[in-house]
Amino acid sequence: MAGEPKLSHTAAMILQAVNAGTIYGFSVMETTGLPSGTVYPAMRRLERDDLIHGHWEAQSIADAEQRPPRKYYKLTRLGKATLEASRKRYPLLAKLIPSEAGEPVA
Amino acid sequence: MKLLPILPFALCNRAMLRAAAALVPRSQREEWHKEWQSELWHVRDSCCTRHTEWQSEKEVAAFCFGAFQDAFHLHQHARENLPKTRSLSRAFYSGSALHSLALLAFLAAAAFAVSNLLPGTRLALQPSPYRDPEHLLVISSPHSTQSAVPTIHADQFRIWAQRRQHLFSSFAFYQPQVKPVTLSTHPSAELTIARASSNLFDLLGIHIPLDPIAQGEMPALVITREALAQYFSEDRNITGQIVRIGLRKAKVVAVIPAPRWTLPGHMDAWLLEPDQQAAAIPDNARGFLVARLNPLDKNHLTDQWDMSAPTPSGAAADFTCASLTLPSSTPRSIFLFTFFLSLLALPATTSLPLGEYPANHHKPYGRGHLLRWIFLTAKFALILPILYFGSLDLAYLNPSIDPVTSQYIQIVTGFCTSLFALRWMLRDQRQRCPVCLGKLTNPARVGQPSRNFLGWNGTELICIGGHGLLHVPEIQTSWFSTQRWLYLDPSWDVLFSEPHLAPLT
Repeated sequence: MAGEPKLSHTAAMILQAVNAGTIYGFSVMETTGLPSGTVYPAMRRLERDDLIHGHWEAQSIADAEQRPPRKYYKLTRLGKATLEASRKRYPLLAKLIPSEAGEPVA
Repeated sequence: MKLLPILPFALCNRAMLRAAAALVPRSQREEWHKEWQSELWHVRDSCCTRHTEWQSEKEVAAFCFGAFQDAFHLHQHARENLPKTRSLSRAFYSGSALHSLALLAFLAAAAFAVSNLLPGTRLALQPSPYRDPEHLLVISSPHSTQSAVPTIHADQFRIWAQRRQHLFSSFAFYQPQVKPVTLSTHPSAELTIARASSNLFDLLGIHIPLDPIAQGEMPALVITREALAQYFSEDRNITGQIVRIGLRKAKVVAVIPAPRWTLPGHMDAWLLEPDQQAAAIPDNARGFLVARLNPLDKNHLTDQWDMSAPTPSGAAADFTCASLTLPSSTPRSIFLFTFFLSLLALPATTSLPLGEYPANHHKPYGRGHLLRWIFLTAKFALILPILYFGSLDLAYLNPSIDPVTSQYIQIVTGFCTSLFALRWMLRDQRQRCPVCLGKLTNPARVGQPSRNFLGWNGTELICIGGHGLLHVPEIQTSWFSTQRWLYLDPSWDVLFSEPHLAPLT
């Protein structure tokens, strides 16, 4: 698609990680091995470009598990299309972070 | 495994997040902080189950440091998206044209303010304190090179004052002396006193309330406010008191501010003799002669001229008459003279061409060219008051310096500062982007002098707005004699971190 933004390898890795089911910041850090100072700003940019969408989980779920609520991220339609284009650009992306790890959580 | 108390580390991590949150725009701050706090809880939970205490605390701290990068990223993004209404503050970055003009305007205002605060400068800028100063002149011997040296004998004054005059309406005489002045309630003090004919202040147009009864008995003393404060403890009841000046007695009749005296000699007081002829002054005493011209005769006279007049011996002698409003001695005339001199000297200190700025279809040229000249003119207009008031401030900084010395100081400082300022103005203009008028940065050496025949060598400067490059040759050649500007086309814009520096055109 002509309108898809071209992503850097780091951004593509994070997008792939979110698609693979690592759906919050710290898990993206663990999956990609990138530091927090890289992951969170990159996720802000992806969210600003409408490639991912963040939402807070319900307070009741967090209370039941005795932890604070988390902000989860999932790919948007544009994000999925961009990830497809990025996979062609970076063929090793799928091997680095396999999608089989899980499906995005709604 | 060594166990560490967790609370101080946890508090430290929270403080780091709170500090980073200060960088985040207010509208996003709460949610940002909430997300990072939540993530921190999970990071700590995860790390503490896997590592030793020190290792886990290190990881948690590294995680928290990332919050600063995230916050800084949001901060930068918010700045780049400032609304256009704030474009003025964007154009006000250090090195911009507006910033330079504001700085110059501030300096001009500061120099003006200082000139109003310094008593010497204030006096120099004020009009003459005397009535009809264009009709007043000081007569001196033409052989004297210094105007502050008394040259006229008292008997010369008396002869002229008694003769019927066509050119002059009246004369006054004063002789500077240093005399001990004793007041009954204060210790004796050495003052510089002008022993003068009684009409001195009348001739100058300064109103002094003289007591007619006292005037017939003894000389009247007029003292400056400054001398009163310095030697007589600012005694407010001094007027009307009898003082002893050497062996003579005098009555204090008035206290006046010292700046009202602009004639030759720095005086602490004036001793007005009871008669207009000042008969008590010895014939051979040298002093200054002040004369008032007949109003009708002023029109055909210049500000300084020579005349021949009879002396007490009967022979004629030459005298120089200098107006009290001599144009060549006014601060403005001195400044204009020194500024003109510095303009003449400028080509010897720097090259005058402003460089080659070719027309370019990528960037607007005509209006930018006009703006460059407007900027240069504005700088010139702001520099003038800085130089004028600045040179005056330096010349009249010390009020005890006599006016002639102050004028010499003004000539030297006026010339030096004007030359420096004009040189700076041209050099600054040459190192500015012709599109945004911002200061060019990042000078880089290009080429080698030994290969000057094959290629140019010199300095290359760049506009941080990405508008172009300036090539300044190290050695002037027939094919590269002056600096050249190279416009960059819009395809280079992605490389520059200051895209907000829009052209001024």
